[in-house]
Amino acid sequence: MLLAHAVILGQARSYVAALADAALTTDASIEYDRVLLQIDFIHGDQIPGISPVPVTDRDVLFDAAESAIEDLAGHGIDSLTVELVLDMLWAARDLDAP
Amino acid sequence: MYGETSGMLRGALGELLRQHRIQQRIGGAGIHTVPVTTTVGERKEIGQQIARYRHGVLVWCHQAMRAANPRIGLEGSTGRTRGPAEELRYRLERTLRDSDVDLPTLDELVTPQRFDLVESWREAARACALGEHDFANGVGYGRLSEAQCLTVIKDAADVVRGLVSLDRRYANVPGWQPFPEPGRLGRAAATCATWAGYGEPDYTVDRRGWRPVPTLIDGPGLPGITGVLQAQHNLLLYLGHFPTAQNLRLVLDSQRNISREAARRLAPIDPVLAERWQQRGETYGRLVREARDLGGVFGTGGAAAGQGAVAATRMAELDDAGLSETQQIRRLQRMSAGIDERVCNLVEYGAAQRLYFHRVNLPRLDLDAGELVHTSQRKFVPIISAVQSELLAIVRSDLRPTPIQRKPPKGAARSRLNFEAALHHRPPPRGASPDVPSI
Repeated sequence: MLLAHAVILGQARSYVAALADAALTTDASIEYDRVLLQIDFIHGDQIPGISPVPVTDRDVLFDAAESAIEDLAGHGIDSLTVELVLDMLWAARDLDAP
Repeated sequence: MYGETSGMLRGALGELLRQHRIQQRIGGAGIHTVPVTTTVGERKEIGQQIARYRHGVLVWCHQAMRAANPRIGLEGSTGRTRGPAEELRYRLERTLRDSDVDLPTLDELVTPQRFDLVESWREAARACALGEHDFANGVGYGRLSEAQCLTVIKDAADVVRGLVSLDRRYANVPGWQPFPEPGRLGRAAATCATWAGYGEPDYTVDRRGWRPVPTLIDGPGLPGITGVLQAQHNLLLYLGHFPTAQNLRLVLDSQRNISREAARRLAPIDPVLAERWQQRGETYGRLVREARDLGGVFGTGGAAAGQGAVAATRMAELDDAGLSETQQIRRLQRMSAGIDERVCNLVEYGAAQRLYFHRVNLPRLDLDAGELVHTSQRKFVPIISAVQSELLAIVRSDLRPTPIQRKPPKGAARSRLNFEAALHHRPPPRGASPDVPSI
């Protein structure tokens, strides 16, 4: 895993975890956790740890997570897998709507 | 289980203790209206067969005494230095050593006998052959409490008392081989039974012993809640193998979903129970959060994660009335408690053996990786180090189920009372009808 991939993956994990913690409903939190599990499943055990993120706004967190997951397609992850993860992310977002 | 095998033994011996006039029961003479159906030679063979069955019972008694009171080196001891249990064990060893009877063969154990009396002996010997497995599977010293040990000793002593009593009764069988020292053996058994019966017996020992190994429930998915139970059962079995950190996370996630779905369906039926499931779901939710950075590639667990996902999906597809049967809910609770305990043990074992780690990012590049492009340095630290999360605390304080206080099986006391009554049984006086009280 190259540095850029590790950075993107670390960002994706950190922002999705922050979304799970900041979710308004438990169902949404569970769905975000599933997205995190799916990202980890794709990469096996070679993944960076979760870091604290500087923002707390859920919209900003979602945009950052979505962007990071989309960028994974440029690091050897096939596009279909990335699309499926994005779909899971949007499904979680629907459950999190106030 | 010990309760089943010892109950079978007591039942067969109790039947034998209530039977008198042994010669007639094996086809011999005695009643002028009943013809003699066996020759002396045949009765001698029957007597030898019974002696082999009796030898099997005696061996079981010796094994029970060794399992519950394993003092070694009784050869140099004397009657004054041996306690009641040691004395009985010593007398049993002497009796077995001086006996030249063989154990019954497998054919003799499984072939039904012609006479009811011999058949009862066969059942007793068969129960003893099955009961041998119990002593290596949970009915042994160190695994039993003091009261449970005394209960096993009392059971064995009572059986020996019954054997000594029957030994006198069978003296007229042609070619019968009596015990070498029946008086001493009987006294030792009576003393030991009295000594072991002083305290309150603990019949929970009946739930210990050998059980058949649980197997996977294969085949197509069962409908309704039975399908959930099927997947949970299989998950419990698969958790017998150590899972990788990722698979453990998937199992935790599945249990959280199952608990939440169960709580949602139980809320209108039983709010108290629903609250308990809700708490379980929240505990698993916290575990999922704390395990996000858990690492560890040792182990397998793919099958366990798969069964967990199947169970969660089937639970989500249940209709609202899917959890209306009380018995099925109890089964689900029991199975889930087993999974909780297994998960607790796995996390504790993984932490103690350093098979699970915490993934920690370091604020610098890894310059020693030997790669052209340097990546950020990661470090794996044991869960029990200074940066530990709440994972172990949650497992220890919230998830681990409280130990279940086992109750003795229903017929445990009755089986022993019946056997005690059979030991003190006396034949009715000659001419008296058993159905009509005599004047």
